[in-house]
Amino acid sequence: MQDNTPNNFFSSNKTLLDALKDGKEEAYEYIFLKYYTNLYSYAFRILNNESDTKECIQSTFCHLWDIRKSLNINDSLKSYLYRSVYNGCIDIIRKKRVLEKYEEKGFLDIYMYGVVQNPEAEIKLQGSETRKAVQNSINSLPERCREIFIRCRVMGYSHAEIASSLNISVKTVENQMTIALTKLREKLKNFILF
Amino acid sequence: MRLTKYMFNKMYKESINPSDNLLSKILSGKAVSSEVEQFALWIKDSQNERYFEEYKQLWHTLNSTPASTQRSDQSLISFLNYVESSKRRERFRRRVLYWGSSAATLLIMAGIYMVLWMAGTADDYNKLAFSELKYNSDSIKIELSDGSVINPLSSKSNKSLLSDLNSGEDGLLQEIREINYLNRVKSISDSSDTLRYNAVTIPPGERFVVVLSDGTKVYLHSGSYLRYPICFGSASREVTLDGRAYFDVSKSKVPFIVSTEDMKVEVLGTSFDVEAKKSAAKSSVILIEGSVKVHTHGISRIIAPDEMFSFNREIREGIVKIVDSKAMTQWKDGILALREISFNDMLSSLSTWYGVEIVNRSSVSPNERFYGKFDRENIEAAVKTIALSAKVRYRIEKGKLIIVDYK
Repeated sequence: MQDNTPNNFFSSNKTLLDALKDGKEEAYEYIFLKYYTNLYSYAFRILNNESDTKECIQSTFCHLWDIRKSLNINDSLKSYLYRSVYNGCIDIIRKKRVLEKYEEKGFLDIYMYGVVQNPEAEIKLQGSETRKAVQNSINSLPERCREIFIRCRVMGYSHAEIASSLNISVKTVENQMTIALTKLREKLKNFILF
Repeated sequence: MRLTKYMFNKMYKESINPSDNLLSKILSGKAVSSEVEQFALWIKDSQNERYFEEYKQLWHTLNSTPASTQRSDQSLISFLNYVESSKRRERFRRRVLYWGSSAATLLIMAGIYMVLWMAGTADDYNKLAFSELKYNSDSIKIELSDGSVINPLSSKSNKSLLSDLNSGEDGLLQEIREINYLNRVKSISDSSDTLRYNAVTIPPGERFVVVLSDGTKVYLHSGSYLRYPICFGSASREVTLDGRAYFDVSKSKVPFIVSTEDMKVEVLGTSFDVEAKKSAAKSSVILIEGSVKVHTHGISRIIAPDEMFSFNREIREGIVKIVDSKAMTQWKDGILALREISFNDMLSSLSTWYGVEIVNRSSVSPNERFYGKFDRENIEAAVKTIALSAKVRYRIEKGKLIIVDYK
């Protein structure tokens, strides 16, 4: 998905940055199409709310346009965008007082260092072998098995909840989880998770 | 009874990890207050912390919700509309300014222009470039016995000097932030001349490790000074400290002594943390394992693991408190843990830790107490945490971090 646009003109980062500074709309359209989906996915995992996410990404791009003349990007455009989105997310969280439950007990640092996905970690995860390995192994599970695994481990539903929503017995859920974990453990030996 | 690997794993997993359900709620922001509390307690354990790191990767890998094509198309259209209308506004402003022939009109219009322009650039405080912060530029200095001073992190010539100094086959500058005297034992101890000393000074924002000739490892905190013999003699092992250091002392019959401005800490072999800055009001010793003897102003105290002895210089009183010694000495691994500390003390600790100047113009009450863990690598997360919890804003001015009230 990286460079199937005919705009090879923008393949060099320098030219792209210059075009952004000059306010070339094609350049903005190009980066919008290139990064929107992944930035959206990133922000959604922090904000967990569609309209906030949409708003956040939109204002990131609008802001970029607004400040184009004084645009000064030291590292890559990609990290600049992820960082801006991250800042935007923290701002929204601040305004909505989402973090009050961390704040009142003095756990904000746990949130900021441990829980929230920072832009560097997000970019690293995107290209990481770990991510590929996890995705491949989970995709290789039989469909039903995969669905049960994701509902249980990622979405955090209990076995009973999964059983009733899929209309199967708790025993079946347990069996499928055993199958999933055995297979994943084989493939992802270095993980303590499985 | 046969315990299958699976059963064992399952039991093991369940004991360290009460429920992925909770972790999933934490990551999706759905956890309620009591769950946050449960999580905060659980993640204190370093094994759990590792588990969570991995779980977080799994969650982020499998939980991505990319925008639909429809959504991204819609958003692109509304973005391009924004671009168009902003261009129109700019053209309009230029034309108006151009046609404003009388000075009066020009002034009024320029006023409007200024207002519009300022509206566009205000509220930029959160888009701050942390790269504009000016970091402490002093370097780590090692003073050699002949009085010359070198910087172990700088040029190659210094490095060769250092390895001359260390003269071991194993090339002693193992890591760039460590200097090792271990091999000196054989090479020097035969020629039993008087002790030769080196001294190392760590500026704010830096950390450094010195491995002494007996294998004792000393982790030096930012803003500290340590003076030590290149090779210990057979009668004693004594070093001088100003600032803060964590000692991992090799076992030996020869006592190891840390001298500071007003304390002597004596041990045989153990791990402990000494904080004794000449300019500070308090000095302290925290023991991780073994036992140490502290002498200060005619008092001698033996302290036990997880105890902290602190001496208040103003009222000349020493007290022993029970502390979580592991948590309080995490700074040696790059994590600064602060507890029950006032806003100003927190800022001054962070200023030393990160090597940046911090100016406090806020009115945070000195009675408020702060807790926090700060990663060495991430000043931005640190500042955001502080801004959120103390309800202040920040900006960067001439390389300094300025803290102001939120209004």
